[in-house]
Amino acid sequence: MSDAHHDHPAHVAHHFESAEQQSDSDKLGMWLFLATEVLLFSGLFCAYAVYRSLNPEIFYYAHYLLDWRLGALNTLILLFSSLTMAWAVRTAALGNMRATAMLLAITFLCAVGFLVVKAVEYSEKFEKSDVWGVDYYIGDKKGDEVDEAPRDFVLDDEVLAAIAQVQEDGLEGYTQEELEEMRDRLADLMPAPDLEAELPGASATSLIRPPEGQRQARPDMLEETVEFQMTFEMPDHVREAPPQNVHIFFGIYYSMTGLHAIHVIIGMIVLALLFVLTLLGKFGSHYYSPIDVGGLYWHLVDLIWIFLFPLLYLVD
Amino acid sequence: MVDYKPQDDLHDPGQGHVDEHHAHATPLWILWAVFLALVFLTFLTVFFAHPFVKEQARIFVSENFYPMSAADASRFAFYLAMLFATTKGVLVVLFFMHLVWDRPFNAVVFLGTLFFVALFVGYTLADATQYRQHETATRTQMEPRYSAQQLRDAIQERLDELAEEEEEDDEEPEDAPDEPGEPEDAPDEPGEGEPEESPNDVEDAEREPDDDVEEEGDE
Repeated sequence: MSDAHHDHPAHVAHHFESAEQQSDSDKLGMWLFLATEVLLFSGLFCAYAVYRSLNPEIFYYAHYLLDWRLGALNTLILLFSSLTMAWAVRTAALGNMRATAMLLAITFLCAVGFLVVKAVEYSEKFEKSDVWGVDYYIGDKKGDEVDEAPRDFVLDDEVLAAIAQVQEDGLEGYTQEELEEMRDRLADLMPAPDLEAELPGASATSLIRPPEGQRQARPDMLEETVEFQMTFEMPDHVREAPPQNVHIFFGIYYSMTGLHAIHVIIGMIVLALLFVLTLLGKFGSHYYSPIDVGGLYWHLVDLIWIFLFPLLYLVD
Repeated sequence: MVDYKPQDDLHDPGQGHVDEHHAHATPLWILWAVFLALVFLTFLTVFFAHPFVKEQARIFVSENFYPMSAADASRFAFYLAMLFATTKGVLVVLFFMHLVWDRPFNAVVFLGTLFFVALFVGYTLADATQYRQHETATRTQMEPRYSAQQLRDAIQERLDELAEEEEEDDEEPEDAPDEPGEPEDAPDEPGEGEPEESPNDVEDAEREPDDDVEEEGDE
């Protein structure tokens, strides 16, 4: 293909009227692709919204298990990489390709930094078994000691159903044997006769708990006295009464941050390609659509993280 | 590299007012201003999410404007965080992604996407609570009538009652089931031996086998 034959410069495909029309088409195509990306993530955001609206206590509890400082660090890294990316597009438009290559490299390094922080976070959580599904470890979340302290009174479904029935019907319908059995099983559940004194706040709502996921006091029921501290420490009353099904949070956490991390990796590939092509002199002020469009993709990655950070790390 | 220039007017699709290439170079001060604004908003997001700050703000609002519960404060903090995040997103989209200088149709594409996301999340959220009705009803029913301690006492009292009845052993079982009320009411009630069939067909597994044995034995 020669310029002389087609009567247009090499960087303009011959089905475009002009370089500008080509550049506009590039951008429109990228925006359409970004639309599909937003819709892809919106599925996960939707899952987040539904599960959080149904189980606010899980999200309130679990966000203490994340380190907001790492999340904030990653936010700053991505914001800075967005700056350098936008800057690279600017220098490309101005034709300063040496600066563009430099800025693309910085953006790439920011992406590496982001993934390093993410890896630290993930490995910490895997160590503590803060994972999705049945492997989630419900033990002590504060320290390293792994003692199976009784978190709460564990009622099997059978006893639970029986007690619910009693609450409903009263005791009159039961025979002596049934009552004796219920008494014995209740006695098993209660470590000391003076239970209420021993566990302040323990009441029938905590002992005779409704089915999964709705047992604990909602965040709005928690009255806490707040003292200043630098980090967001988990309050004692929250640690002592972890909600059930915290793994739901981690399922959502890993899905969202994982999909986002995949996008970061794809972005890194794009950045590396752009870097090499820039060094090879493929772009100039007359033609830099790939950098422009790659920048749009990178900014979307940043945009997603801007929402992920407060939603996952700063639940309140 | 050859700078392309339209060779005649036919090749220029009538947008001559756009200074083709250099017009798109975003001024550097805008990039830095946007970046600093983004960092500042991130700081504000973290700041207002801090429990201490939240509590102080809650107290301040409660004393000066209107009483604000901790739940209100949490909700408010969430909206605030989302407001900051949205502002950051708008800054990124408008300036880093050049949408403010771009062809408006790109903005239409993006806003259209957001519209459909809103439909998707909004309708799903509105629907999500519908499936909760059964469980919510269960929870309302299970508002504690007895604490565990009271329940055990009540069971004990009821057992004593049954033991007395067995000693007498000549009373006809009364038909009227008494009001299943407070546990302290239980000893006042007249004795009642026959287990009344629960109106609820759902028998728990623990109770069912004993029921049959008891009925056969008494008749």
